[in-house]
Amino acid sequence: MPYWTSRLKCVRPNRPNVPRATSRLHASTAWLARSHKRIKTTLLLAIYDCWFQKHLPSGNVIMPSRLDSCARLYFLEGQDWCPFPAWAHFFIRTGWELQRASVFSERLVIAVCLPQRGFAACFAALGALLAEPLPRPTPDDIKRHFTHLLTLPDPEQNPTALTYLLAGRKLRGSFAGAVTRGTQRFVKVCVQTKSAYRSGGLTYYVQEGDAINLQIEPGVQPRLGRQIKGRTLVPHTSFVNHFYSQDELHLLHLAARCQVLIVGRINALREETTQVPCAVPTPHNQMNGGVLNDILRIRKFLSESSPARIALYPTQRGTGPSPEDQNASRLVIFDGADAFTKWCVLFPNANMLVILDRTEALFQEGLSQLNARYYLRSGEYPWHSNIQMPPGVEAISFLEVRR
Amino acid sequence: MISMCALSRLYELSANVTIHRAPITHSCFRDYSIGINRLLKTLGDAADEELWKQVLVPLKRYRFTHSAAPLPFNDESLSITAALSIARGQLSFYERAYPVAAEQLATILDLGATLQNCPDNPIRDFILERFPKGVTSGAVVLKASWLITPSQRSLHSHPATRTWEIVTAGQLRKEGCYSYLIVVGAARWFPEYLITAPRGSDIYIVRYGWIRDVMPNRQAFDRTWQKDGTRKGADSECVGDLDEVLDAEDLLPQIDWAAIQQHVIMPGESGFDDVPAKIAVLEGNFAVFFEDDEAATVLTLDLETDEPIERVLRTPVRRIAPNMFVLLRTTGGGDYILPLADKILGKVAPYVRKCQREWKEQLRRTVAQSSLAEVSVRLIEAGSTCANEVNVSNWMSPRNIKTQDPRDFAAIMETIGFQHCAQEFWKAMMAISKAHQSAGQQIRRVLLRRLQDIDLTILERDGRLEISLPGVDAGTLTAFRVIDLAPADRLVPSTKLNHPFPLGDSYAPHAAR
Repeated sequence: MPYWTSRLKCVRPNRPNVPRATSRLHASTAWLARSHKRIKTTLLLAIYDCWFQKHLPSGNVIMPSRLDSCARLYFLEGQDWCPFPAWAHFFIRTGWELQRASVFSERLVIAVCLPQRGFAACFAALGALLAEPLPRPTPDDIKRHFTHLLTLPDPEQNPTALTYLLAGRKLRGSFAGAVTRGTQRFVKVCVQTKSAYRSGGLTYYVQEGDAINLQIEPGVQPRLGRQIKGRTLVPHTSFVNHFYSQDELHLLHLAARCQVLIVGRINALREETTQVPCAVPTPHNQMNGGVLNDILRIRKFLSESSPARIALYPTQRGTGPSPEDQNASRLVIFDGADAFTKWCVLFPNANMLVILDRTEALFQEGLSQLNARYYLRSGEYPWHSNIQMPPGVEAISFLEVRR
Repeated sequence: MISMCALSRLYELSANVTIHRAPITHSCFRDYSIGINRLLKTLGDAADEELWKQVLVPLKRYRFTHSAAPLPFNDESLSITAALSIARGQLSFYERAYPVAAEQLATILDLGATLQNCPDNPIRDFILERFPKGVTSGAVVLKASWLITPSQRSLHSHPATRTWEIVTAGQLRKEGCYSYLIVVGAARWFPEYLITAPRGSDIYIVRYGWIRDVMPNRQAFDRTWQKDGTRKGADSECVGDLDEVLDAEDLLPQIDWAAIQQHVIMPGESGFDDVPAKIAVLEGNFAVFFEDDEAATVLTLDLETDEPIERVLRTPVRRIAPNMFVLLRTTGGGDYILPLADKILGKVAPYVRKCQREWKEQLRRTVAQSSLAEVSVRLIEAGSTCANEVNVSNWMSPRNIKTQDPRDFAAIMETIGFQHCAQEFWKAMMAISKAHQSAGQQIRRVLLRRLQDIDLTILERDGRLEISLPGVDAGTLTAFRVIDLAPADRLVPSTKLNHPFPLGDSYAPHAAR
């Protein structure tokens, strides 16, 4: 298959909310490609990209600038701020590409061989998250959520703990029933705020439009009274502000599906994403600091009620990723040959990034499995032609038929 | 956690490493090494005869030792003088049966004797010649852990080589980097990552010129994004006439499995209690029998895991592979659970253990009077759900506490004539089982705590580490690196399982003396 047709084959979208128009365009682009073989693929792709950006529903704007913002990332080494190395940018770019790659019946597999796999998974995950807009709840989602809240069990018999996101604070409370005022229905939620501490608490009437700010806290027993206090949300670090607009920051606090799934080493990832200070310099030569998990929001490293964007599963323990996470994640990152050889069968459809560490015990096994899969590939995916490979990295990419 | 700067250095090293092949020579050692190969060719299958093995094993070991470490030929700790004189004593016999081979052997013995008096140390001389003023950051990589101590002695004897660290390949998986790495021996003896994920900016592969070696391919994927993206064959390095070179693989010590098994299991030492077992040769000239059963497990140490609670694992025996670390009890018998379980049982321990012994002995007697098959049939008739020859054999074993199903236990009690105390015995066995479980958990907890205080790089380097567990009456546990596992099973008495035993010199050619 010539390069440009395979490139076209990989072009976009199964993106939500733009199904019919997009597939029409895809069909016409494919026709164009067949009919005018001399037209440069890049030109077609440019047309496609412009159209795609233009026709995305409002709010779901992909910001290519986010990838550029990564170029200004620094990390703290001892007392000094150092710019992110080239290999870090390579992984961010790889994650970005994997998340954006969308093909109709194929999935993209990228595998890399490294002298040491530290930080590779979290940088790739960062790139993948930045490639996608924050999932914004649709009116249908909100309606479904509100209906679900209305059907919660009777608070007298079976109380339900809720959190209420209000003016930058996350209040803990409990479901106090549903009421109708006129033609509108409301969910009643009792909360305890610091200001209302003496008076015994507050009851809010939450209508459908605001329902998305109410989240159920699974497994938490609500205890109203003196013990319950509202928790002021930790404000987003200015580090996060660098990547998201003010409007988008609000979405970080809403429950969202996990966009990326990582199978790997919990402790190593915890240290890499929560203990290494990162920063972006301001025009006034100050550093807006934070940690990678401010953006990554790995579920294991957040409190239970905090919405997560990445699901992380250990390689060795347990029964593996839950079916919900398996289905929700469009990208799976296998951090190590052991993770890949053990769990890859669970993901027949998601795009995959396989990180192989040359010093791992199972390196050869992972490598031979990937080489075997390469021979059974359904197509090439040579997007790397524009990427500068950092020294010491070896990579392979191919397409596989989704099962 | 490895810092990003350290990682950047590793990436740079991968791209900028310089590999130097440094063939060295020594005429007498060359004649000795090639002479052994010629002798082996002449002997053919006869080389496997016990008579020849006794002579050849120490000669081959000496050849490997001095090809794989910077040692003087007259190093006393690795002397083969005794072996040479024994072989010389038998020379007249060999002359009658194998005149050509005996002539070759005589030459080798002469060369061996010359080497025994030769203070030359060509590998160290190479280091001195290349780095006469020493280095600040350099390491010598050895194939075998047991060569570290004599090599350290040898390098420390000269001021210019005193600063060199001595490591094994396993230690070069972490982020630590050196300016210079000297790999002693053929590249094929070492894992590929030594070359493909280097931890040194200049790597010298120092081997004798008559050893034929192959450099590993630095490209992993069959086809990659790199410009010259098709995988090439391994970089073979061939020297001279084929008769005058030795294949690197041929120099590696071979384990004589049959000899080890004969050494450990005496004839007539078999019975009903025999189980199929696999022998594993361990670091430090030890071996152990592991039961080759689907359900059999052994405690292992995972040095690669990043989660401390996963460092100690119970791994199925069938998944044990070379280079894994197994934990075995080296003082106070093989079972480290038993004494602690007895402690947990307290006053009732003697009674419940007596019950356990009694019914197992009675079952064994019943089987001895008839057969496993006949007893299985009788057990099924008495209401057993899963009696068969294998299960009955397991139930007889002292390692087994009780049956899983109480109906099987009741059937056994009825068959052996203990039906009057079946309930009481079942309760006793349940108590033992619970005590064993909690003892296992307790030991694991203490072990995990203890491992946090231990420098595991010593284990990585030496391949063996004794671990005492304070406050737990479990004796001393030793973590051993598995060198290799026997390709086939054999029946061994269950009492021999999981007890590490030392190997004699003649059984493990790689053994330290």
